[in-house]
Parts: sequence; structure tokens; C-alpha cells
Amino acid sequence: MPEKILIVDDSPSTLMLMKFSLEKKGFEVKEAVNAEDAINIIEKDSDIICMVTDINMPGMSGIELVEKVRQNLNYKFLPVIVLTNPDNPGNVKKARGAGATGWLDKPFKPENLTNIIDKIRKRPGK
Amino acid sequence: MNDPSGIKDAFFEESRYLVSEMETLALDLESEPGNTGIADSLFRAVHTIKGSSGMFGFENAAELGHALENIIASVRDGALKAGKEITDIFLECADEFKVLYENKDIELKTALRIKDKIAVLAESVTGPGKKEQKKQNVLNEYRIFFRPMEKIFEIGLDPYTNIEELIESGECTIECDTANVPDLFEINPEKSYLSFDIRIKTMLSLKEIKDIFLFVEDDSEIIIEEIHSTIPEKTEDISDKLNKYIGKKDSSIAISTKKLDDMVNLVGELVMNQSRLYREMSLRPDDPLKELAEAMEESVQELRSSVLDLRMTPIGTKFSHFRRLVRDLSASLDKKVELYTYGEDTELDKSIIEKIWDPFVHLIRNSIDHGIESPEERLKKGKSETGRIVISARTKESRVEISISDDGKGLDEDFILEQAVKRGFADKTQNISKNNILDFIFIPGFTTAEKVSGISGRGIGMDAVKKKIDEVNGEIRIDSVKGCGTTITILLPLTLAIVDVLMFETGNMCFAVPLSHIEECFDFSRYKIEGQRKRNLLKLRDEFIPYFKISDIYSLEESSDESFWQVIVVDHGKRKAGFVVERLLRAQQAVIKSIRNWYNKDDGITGAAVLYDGSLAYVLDVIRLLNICAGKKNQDTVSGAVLENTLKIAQF
Repeated sequence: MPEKILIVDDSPSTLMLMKFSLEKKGFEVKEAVNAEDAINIIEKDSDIICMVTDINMPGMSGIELVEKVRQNLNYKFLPVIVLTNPDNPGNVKKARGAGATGWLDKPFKPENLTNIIDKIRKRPGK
Repeated sequence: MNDPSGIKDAFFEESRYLVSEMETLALDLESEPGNTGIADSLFRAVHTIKGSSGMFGFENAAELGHALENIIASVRDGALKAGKEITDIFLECADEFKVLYENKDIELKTALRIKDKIAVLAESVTGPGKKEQKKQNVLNEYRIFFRPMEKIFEIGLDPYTNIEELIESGECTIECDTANVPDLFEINPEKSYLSFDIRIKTMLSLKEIKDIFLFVEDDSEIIIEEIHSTIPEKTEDISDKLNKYIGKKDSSIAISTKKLDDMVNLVGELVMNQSRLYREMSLRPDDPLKELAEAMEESVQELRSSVLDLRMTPIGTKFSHFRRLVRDLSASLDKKVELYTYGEDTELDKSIIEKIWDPFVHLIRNSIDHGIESPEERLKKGKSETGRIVISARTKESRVEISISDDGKGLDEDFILEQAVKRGFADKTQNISKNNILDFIFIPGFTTAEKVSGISGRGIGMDAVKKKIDEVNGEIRIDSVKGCGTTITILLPLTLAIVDVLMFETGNMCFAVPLSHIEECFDFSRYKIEGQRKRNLLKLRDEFIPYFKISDIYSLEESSDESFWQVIVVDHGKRKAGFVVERLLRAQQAVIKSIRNWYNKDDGITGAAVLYDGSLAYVLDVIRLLNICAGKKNQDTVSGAVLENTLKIAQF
């Protein structure tokens, strides 16, 4: 069974790009257009192995989303990658403070994303 | 240019440092082409040069830096093979980058010319057959210490992932330290308590290994070390390794010597003031400030020793310059020369290193130019085609010994003697020992004109070399075997700033002798030979030693009875002598200030030591003093009045 990844971004084009490159690598991709949606999805689906989220989104921000994830016992150890803007380096610190696992500057090349996910996703362990 | 904040200066200093770093690394890379660590460092150096010259508007330099980055990147992933060609380009560029120090950009023409060269090199990469090298990547060995932070799981990371990735990418030995795991009832399953000591043999480069620990680095402890096969495996415990890690991170910056000297002077004054304070306070046992003064004393001492330590530089940094010198010079003279250096870690005062730099270059140049023969000549003599120069440094007691040896043709003593006689420095009838003959080449004026063509020609400016070495209180010796080679040994003091001295008093004046020269001290009356005072000899055990009275040398009036006098026995080479003084005071460390420039007479005094109470004492230069005593006897003494005046001048 393919591993599931949740991607969260309010920009449909970014979502498409991510979905495309991740599916090419053999992942199953779930999409959310805002943080509230994202929470709903991980509440229901415990198979998700990694979440990738934008920071600036209408409603709950990506950083708040990370905080929420870390507070819930059911999925507090889920790896989360935040998409950061290189013009705003403070965000990396904030994201890390909130408990983000990793970060990736936007814009990024598709292979950067898959490489990073490869680094931090939980492997089917023994 | 208007540069109020000194940013430009900082840039110049930084680029000076980086360019020399670049030279060293390029040469290193030539001798160890497979070492990716060197390539990485080289990349960083070039990258920084590029970045900062770009920021300061030197675009051609930045462009060139960029082109160099590409080369080194190709070297790193094995597409391009490191070797003489590449090193040549880097050295050429290093020379060009030097214009940056003068606030100039590299000329566009030059930049383009070098870039063309680089393009040619780069094209060879894309050519067929070169890609194979990538496969032949060397097997690297790394040692990794990894202690995930306790809360690592809370940011969604799992250290097991990292370790598993390592296991997949090479042959691993992993030791897990479970010492921090608490008792079962106290374990928090959401925390990580383990640390790992990993050894891995892999094809991955250091950068790729570091990539595995991407995102881990910030909060967890992670040390990645490349293990070079030539270095024997070390068994150190984790705390040692951590220290090493901290040491490694301790990158160096270049500071101008003047700033350093200013600081040393200031600290010297601070030490002196502190000592006065301390003495004042010791007279008032009940003063509540006494404790504070004691605490201050301790920190000031620590401050002083670490500031003095700042001046100490490993001599290896200079050795790397010699490599460049030997390489360039031997090429231009069509000779084959290999340079071997030992004792790079030997530390020496920075200002001494700077002062002996020219003499050293001179000596090495002599070795290559006049010592080492041409390849044909060497073969004819049954030597190997390639000549060898060995530079080695080591600490010997309180001094540093540096020697430069070559296996060239050596010095021709007969010829030197002949020349010395011809020039009136020696008398043919005298029986002159071999060592004394060699010493002739240090005589100023001995080594002029046509002599160069005659024998090995070593010698132009040897007197200048000796003078420089003398200036830093050093010694120089020559050993040579005709036909086999020459060794020049230089002995240097560790530091010029602070010296351990023994203080004594004669004729109401205070003097100091460097402890390093002192062999022993004893009562004058017990050892002087009775009834033979005119011969000025002491009988010490089975030895007879000449003695000199300091009061005679400086025409001072003795203020006490002879029965209290003491003798300081000094030792210089094979010469021993006693100096008779009225009263020994104490041994202490002294900051030495130069006073020599104020008048020209050679008085055997190196400088003035600043004492705790702020007053000054003369520091005797034992070697020169012995020469004076041996040579002039009493005819040309310096009067006490003159000394008094000098001290007054020095006090200002």
C-alpha cells in the first residue's frame, strides 16, 4: 500500500505541483486548502506519514497548525514540513519553535521536496 | 576612501586570510587529490571570497570566484581530477585576488583570460571517458557522534530514521550509550535518552553524510568527523571528542599584529597596576576590599596568560607558504625539489614569526639556488634526481629550534677559509676549527661580489640573516658536509613579550637576568679562589669559571660588604661564567620594554623590565654581556650615570 502524505496550501497551483511530484515518487497524496481542513483529515486518517504545509494561509496559519498537531496525542509525532519564504527568515525559527520537523524555502524544485520527505518520513519499521 | 566603521579594512583582512587559505588548500589538494575534506574547505574559501568581493562591488573578482567554485564542484563529485593543472589555476587566481587588498578589482582582461582557461578545463570534463572517475570514489570513513535532543520526537523527527539511513549507505558499527536512560518508572516514552557513537565506511561524501542529519543539527548534538586512513585510530571517550568538536569549530580570524601588541601592552599595564593594588591591600588586612583585590588578581593573571597565548601561533601556517616558495622557485631554476616539513604545531610568538620570515625565505632560497644541484648533476653524483629540503621545528626547553636541511652540495670549507684569508678576516697560520670557518660567512662584507660563482655561493646576506635572528634574541648555527648537504639550525625564544627573570641588586640599581640562561646561584665568598683574586676565577666543584662583577662592568659603587655577595652562573653554549652581584632579590615574570634605541653603545642590556611597583630594572642580555666581558675587559664600560638617564627616558 502506498504511503500517504498530506499537503496543505491555499494555492491550488502549488498543491498541483506537489501532488504531481509526490505521486510520481509513488506516494498517495491527500490535499487540504486550509489548516482546518488539514486537521479534519488527520483526525480521520491515521495512515498519513508526513504533512507538508504552507505558512501563510487564510484562517489558521501553518505555524498554528503545527502547534495544534503537536498538542494532540493521536498524531503529535507526525513529521511536518513547513514551506517557508526565504525573504522572511524569522519564520524558520518560529516554525521550529512550534515543533516543525523541517522546512523548505519556496519556490522549490520538486526533487527538493521529495528528498526532504525521504529524509524524515517514518520508514516502515521493524 | 571614506570608511568610518572599518568595514573595508575587515574585508581586506578577511580576503588576505582567505587567499592564503586558498593557496594552502590548493597545494594540499594537489598532494591529496582524493581528500574531499580539502575540496570542501577550498570550496568554502572560494565561496566566501566570491561572496564578499561581490558585495564590495568587485565584480570581476566575484565572477572569477564563481568560475573557481564550478571547478571545485566538479572535483568534488569526481568529474574533474585534482592535480597540478587545477592547483596552478587556483594559485594563479590567488595571486590575482591579491589586488583586492589594495581596494582594486581584478582587471577584466585578466579575469577573462583565466576564465578561458577554466572553460578549457571544464570542457575536458564533458569529454568521454572522464565520467568513470565518479564510480571510483574513494571509500571514506567517518566517525559520528549523535545525541538527539530529549524532545526530538516532539518535532516529528525519529533518530532511528537517520541511523537507518546510515546503515543503508555503508558499513556501520554503532555503539549506543544507554547511560542516561532513567529507571523504568521514570522513563518518559516520549523522550529520547540515547546517544550513538557510529563508525561508517561509505562512498558518501561528508556533505552527503551531513545531509542525512538535515534538520537534526540545530538542537541535537551531532559531530561528524572524517577519519583519514593515515591517522591511527584514536580511542577517546565522548567528552574528549566533544572537546575536540568544540576545538574544531573554533575557526580562526586574522588580527593585525598591532592590535595584538596594543592589547598585550595594555594587559601588561593592567597586571602592573593590579600588583600595586594587591600590595597596597596586603598592608591593610582588615579592609573589606581585600577579598575583591584577591579575586581580581586571579582573573588578571588568567587574562594575562590567555592574552599572551593569543600571540602564539603554530609555525605550520608559515610552513605552508614555504611550500609555495619551493614549488615556484624550483620550477624557475629547473631543479627538482621536494619539501618536507615537521613540527607544524610548534608554537611561537607571532611577532617573532614575522621577524624571522624574511631570513627564512632567504635561507630556503639559498638552499634551492645554491645548495641543491641540477637533476643531471645529482644523478652524476649518485644522488636521487629530486633534491630534498627538510624544515623541522620543535620546542626545546624554553626555546624553539627550527632547522633547514638540504641534501645539496654543502659548503666548501677550504674555499671559505681561502676567501677569509684573502679578505683579511683570518690568518692562514691560525689553526681554525671547522665550525669557526663556517662562521665566517656571517661576517658582514664577507659575502660580496664574485664569490657567488665560485662555490655554493651560499652567503649573500647571511650577515643580514644573522642580524635579524640576533634581533629576536635567537641563535643561528651552520653544519655542513661537503658534497652531502647543509643544515642551518635556528634557536628562537618562545616569546618576546614576557620573560622569566631573576632580579638582583648591585650598587643600588636593580637588574634582571633571564632565567633561561641561569644555571645556578651561590655565595660568592665560598667559591672564589682565595689569594688569586686578580685571575677572577671561581672553583665550582671541579670546574674553574671566570667571574665578572656587575659593579665593575657598569662602574657602580658597591654598597655592601663582599661577604654577602652572590654569584649567578650563566651558561651559554660551551661558555660558562659567573656574574657577581650584591643581593639576589626574587624570580618573577617581567614585561620587557625596549630601551636599546636610545643610545648606541653596546652595553649588554636588552631592555627594561617593568616591576610590580611601577619602577624599572635593566634586563641583561647574557650573550652580549659575555662578549663584552670577554672582549673589551674593562676599557670601555658604560657608566652608571648614563644608565640612570636611559631609565628615565624609558619611564616615559
